[in-house]
Amino acid sequence: MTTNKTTSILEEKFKTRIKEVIREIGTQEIDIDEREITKFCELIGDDNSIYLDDTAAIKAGFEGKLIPLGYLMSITYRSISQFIIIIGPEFYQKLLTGIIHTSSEVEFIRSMPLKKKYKVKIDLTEPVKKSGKKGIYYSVVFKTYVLDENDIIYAIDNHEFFFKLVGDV
Amino acid sequence: MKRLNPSNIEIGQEIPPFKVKIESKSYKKYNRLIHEMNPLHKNTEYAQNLGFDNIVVAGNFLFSYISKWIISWVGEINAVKKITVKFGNPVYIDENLIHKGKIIEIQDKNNQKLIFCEYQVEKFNGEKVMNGVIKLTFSNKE
Repeated sequence: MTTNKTTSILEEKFKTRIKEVIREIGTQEIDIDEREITKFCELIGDDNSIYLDDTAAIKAGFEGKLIPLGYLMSITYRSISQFIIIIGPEFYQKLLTGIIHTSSEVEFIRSMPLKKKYKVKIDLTEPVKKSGKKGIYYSVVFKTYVLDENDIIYAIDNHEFFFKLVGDV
Repeated sequence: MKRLNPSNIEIGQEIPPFKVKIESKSYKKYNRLIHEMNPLHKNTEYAQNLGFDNIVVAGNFLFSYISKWIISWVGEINAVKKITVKFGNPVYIDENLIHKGKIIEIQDKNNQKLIFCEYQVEKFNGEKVMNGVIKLTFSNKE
């Protein structure tokens, strides 16, 4: 009985705090410059000229150089990373015993010209208690949106994480 | 870049496989570029304390190669509408990966051809790393 009560208190604390942290992070402006994209393309060996050359991108029908689709998760991940940095020292080993990134779903709504200013908005779904091969865990989906200054959505990137609380076997 | 002709696509058709080695130098540079903060992706001791063999390569870095692979095949960035990724076994630095995929569904809807591809990423020893579905959209006017 005491164990169930303790688990339920931890569960409530976890649910409340993750919502608070996500609210704190909220929407953040992001800075992506040409050098960053050039470096990224170099690292993954992508020489597609629409990311590297304005003339080629305009010729292909775009406003100018584009941000590679493959870089999108690196952009949205910044907000999730920030969440983990806040929640980690606070909760790890006291409340949480593990966090696993299990899946992602990335929707590309419109191409992202490099010269535009963007922001990332983060939100999350209500944690759902599940049980499986690895015991009891909470599934949380972080919903991230890439928007421009006029709040037009360019991409939606949803990441599902499993959180394991202390005491849940 | 050569553009894929959607009318030549058939269910069951395979996407040309793509192989990549996760080089230590490139991955470290990537971590610096994105200001990686998670020690799981940077610190060997931390990763080993969590039960992993070594530093775990971040999913967002691996995702970069899925996009690169599919755009190289399609030849058109705007055709790629959605990518789902389910993460499996961890990937470590210096491991070799192979991306494989095939067409599983084709729909004609509102003057558009929707093509769904199922893919998986494996290590050379066959260990599954990632899998998911890619949705492509082409205008039927083309």
